[in-house]
Amino acid sequence: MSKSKSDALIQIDGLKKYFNVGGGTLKAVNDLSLSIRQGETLGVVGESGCGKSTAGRTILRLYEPTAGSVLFNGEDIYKMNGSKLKAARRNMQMVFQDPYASLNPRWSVESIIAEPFKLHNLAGSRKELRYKIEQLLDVVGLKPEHADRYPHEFSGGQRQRIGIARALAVDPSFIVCDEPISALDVSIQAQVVNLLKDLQRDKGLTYMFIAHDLAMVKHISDRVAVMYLGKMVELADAEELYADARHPYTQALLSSIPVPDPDVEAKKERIVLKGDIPSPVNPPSGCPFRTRCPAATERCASEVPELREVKPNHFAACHYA
Amino acid sequence: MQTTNVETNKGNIDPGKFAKLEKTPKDVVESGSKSRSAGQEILYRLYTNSWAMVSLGILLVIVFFAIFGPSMSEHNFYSNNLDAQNLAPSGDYWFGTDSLGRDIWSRTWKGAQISLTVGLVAALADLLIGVLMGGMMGYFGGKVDEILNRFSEVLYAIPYLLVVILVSVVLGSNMWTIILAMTITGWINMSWIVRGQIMQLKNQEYVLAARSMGAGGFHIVLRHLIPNSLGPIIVTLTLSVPSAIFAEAFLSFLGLGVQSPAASWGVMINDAMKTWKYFPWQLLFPAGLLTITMLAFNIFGDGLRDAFDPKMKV
Amino acid sequence: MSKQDTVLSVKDLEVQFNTRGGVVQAVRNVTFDLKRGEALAIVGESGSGKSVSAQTIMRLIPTPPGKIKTGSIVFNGQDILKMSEREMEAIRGKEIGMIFQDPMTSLNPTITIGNQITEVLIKHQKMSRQQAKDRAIEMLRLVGLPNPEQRYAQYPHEFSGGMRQRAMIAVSLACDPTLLIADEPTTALDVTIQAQILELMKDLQKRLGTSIIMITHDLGIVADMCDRVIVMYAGKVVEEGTKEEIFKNPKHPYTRGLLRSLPRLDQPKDEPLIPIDGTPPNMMHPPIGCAFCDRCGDAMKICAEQDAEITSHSETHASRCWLNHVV
Repeated sequence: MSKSKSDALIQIDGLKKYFNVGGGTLKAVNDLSLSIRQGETLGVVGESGCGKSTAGRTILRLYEPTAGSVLFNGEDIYKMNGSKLKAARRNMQMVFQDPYASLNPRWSVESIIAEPFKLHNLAGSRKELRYKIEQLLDVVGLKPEHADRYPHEFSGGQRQRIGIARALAVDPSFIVCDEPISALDVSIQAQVVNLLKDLQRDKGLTYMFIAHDLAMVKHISDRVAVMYLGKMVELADAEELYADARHPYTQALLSSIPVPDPDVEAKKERIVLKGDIPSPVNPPSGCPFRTRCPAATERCASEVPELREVKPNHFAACHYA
Repeated sequence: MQTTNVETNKGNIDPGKFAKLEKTPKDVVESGSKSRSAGQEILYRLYTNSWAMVSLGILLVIVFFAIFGPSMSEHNFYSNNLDAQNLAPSGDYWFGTDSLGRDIWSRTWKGAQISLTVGLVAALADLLIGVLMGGMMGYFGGKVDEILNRFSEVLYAIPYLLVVILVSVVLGSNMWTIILAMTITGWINMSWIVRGQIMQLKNQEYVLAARSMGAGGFHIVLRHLIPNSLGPIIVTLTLSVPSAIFAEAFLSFLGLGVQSPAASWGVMINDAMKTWKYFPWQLLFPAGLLTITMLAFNIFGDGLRDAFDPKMKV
Repeated sequence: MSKQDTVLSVKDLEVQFNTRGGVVQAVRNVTFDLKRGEALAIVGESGSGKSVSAQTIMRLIPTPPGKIKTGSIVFNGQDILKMSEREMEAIRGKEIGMIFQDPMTSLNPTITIGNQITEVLIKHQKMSRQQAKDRAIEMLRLVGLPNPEQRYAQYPHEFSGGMRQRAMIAVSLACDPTLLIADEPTTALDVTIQAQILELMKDLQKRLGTSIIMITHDLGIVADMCDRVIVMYAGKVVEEGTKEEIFKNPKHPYTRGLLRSLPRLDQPKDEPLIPIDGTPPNMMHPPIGCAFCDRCGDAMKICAEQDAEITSHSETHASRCWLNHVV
């Protein structure tokens, strides 16, 4: 733990984000603590309503947190004021899920990628700016002349490349990828994932990769965090998590993914969970997963399981892990 | 190698065709199609809508005559001429004269001036106040939204005729009091439209993206939210012009608006009402132009709406 | 394979859509058969024509802008494309059931779940209200909804996504159809809920013997629950075969590319994915030759000039590729 703390780029501590909704408080992120190391990819998986996207957005302070702190290079971004926060934003960028909604439809590609330069007064002369934009387009596998086109002329995968170029514009060190491939066709997903991996290798980027596709998360991540109802229930190295999942939810999640191999599918004993995901407005007492857990006991209803190190560098929040 | 032993079920294909295809990298974007911004798309769709273009043409003609019409005739719009009462249209008086011998041609186009001024000024006032208020309601939401919303609901509940009468009692009856009275309640519709648009747009991911890059509220409203709400704003604007024109004519007809000898279509229609059976042209010209103007604005507004949002087209 | 074992036979189907920008050739020359009790997967990307093919079988294509240009769809010995709208209504919901991707928009929000099922039963099976109600509750129990009597009187908005999809399955299976068409039935659902629905569909198919056409882009679902697979690309069938043939011995470069571009849980981390380069063609101007030619690593001169005929590899396995003609 001490080692990971020292080279942590992002240190999240006790992060909470609640929303007031009609009839109660939605605890979207409920006490999240973890660190993201310099140069690694942290995968975050979970089903809808588990708080993974909210966590990503709160870490970038797109939402104001309810409680907790996020240290970026040792400084708490929630304590930063206007100009300092703006400067910090240069280092933290985001790639969004929906390549159709994340680009302003009225802007040309040039204006879209120019926006971060202009916001941070890095534009320089018109010619310099144009050159930088063409460079960025080249990096993400598009052509210089595409700068004059408009988003509606591109396919989903190409738009996602434009979104990545925009995120890269101001040379960030940390990028939150919020389900960047969920909206893309299968044959295009691999293109975007390979691009993200190449960029990471070339520029030493740190990623938080949010997704629900576990196979893709395993492929791109060094470590994987599993979330359920606003809580992190398991955290381990990617290989380790898939080889030896300790939390019953992770086990069920892994067994739920249909594998594109008939032999594997024929042999597989699938764990099918009973019931639906409870509402995060009114989560179960004790362990949030106990209502669907095949191994739940009375202790699970009364006592909240703490995240503990069940094996070296493998954490799980289950009494019986 | 492959080319040497080819076996096909058609048998007659040149084996050379089975050589590897040398590909020239193709552009990922459809070539040939000219790159058009959203704005250019809209103009193109508007341009190809013949009904809208005809309406626009009619409006331009009306504007032209409203500006130059009165000075084309040698008769002015206000002088009574008791020797020339109720004359039919002729080479001297192109649209005839009214019961006081005033030139209907000049009066009609002077009336057009007033109608268009009222329509445009009232619509612009609605635009300014409506976009500002709606923008604040939509962007800030929460308490600001609630307070402004209640305020506009209260205003909306006051009967509009009452406002007009009160304002004209206090400030006197003329064109500007009508505009003022209409603006007091007129902006509310626009503000609700803008509010709805902004509320919907501010949760779009590109707005979030701008914020994640460090953009402030000013930048987001001015560069992202307002430009993307322009469609509904312009359409509402175009449709509020004819309703302002009609309101002015209606109030002047009732005697609450522009007063004689100033010429307004409403005043002229009122004057002509008493004798329209005998001198129908006195009614025909102002009433006809009022109808044509409103129709043209409405059709043009519909055309704009279709151009901005082709999905709405029936 | 005797003739009466074939439930559905689609032949030379061509469907196009007239849009503002031009004519989109959504389905081009599609031919396939479906046998009784079989689960057939139609796999493809968005725009491959898989959903349009399925909707054409139900005659749900709005015409205009859609137009069925040629082809026949023989269902239980009758050509669906030659039927009147009235005859078609008797088949929809009774002989052929359909499940859609979004259960929220495919259930009527103003009618209780129970009434949505009884309505179908009263119309098609001429049941009395009480009979229909009993059957509806039985169906709700069959699809695994807890407290079916209570659920019967509830509205769709009171159901979660997974429960709605279960209810939708109950509606579509109420009349015991010969064929069930499922158009991306689990795409909108979470993984653990998807697993529930897939288990349910497998179980029901085993018990009721319904033939299923499963439209999906997820090859995992195919491997899990289908017997035979049709791979579509740019409106055409490019490969067809049993599940084993498609996964173990794919013949068309597109099928191979699709399988290679998927990450596998047992894949070493450093091994990069092999994507298919480029993007699918614009279906307003489909290429003259093979539609996949632009993205194909093995493309030959002939591929750009004309499209290949279908070649059989076995009784069940066939593909449309010029490589088959190279020895």
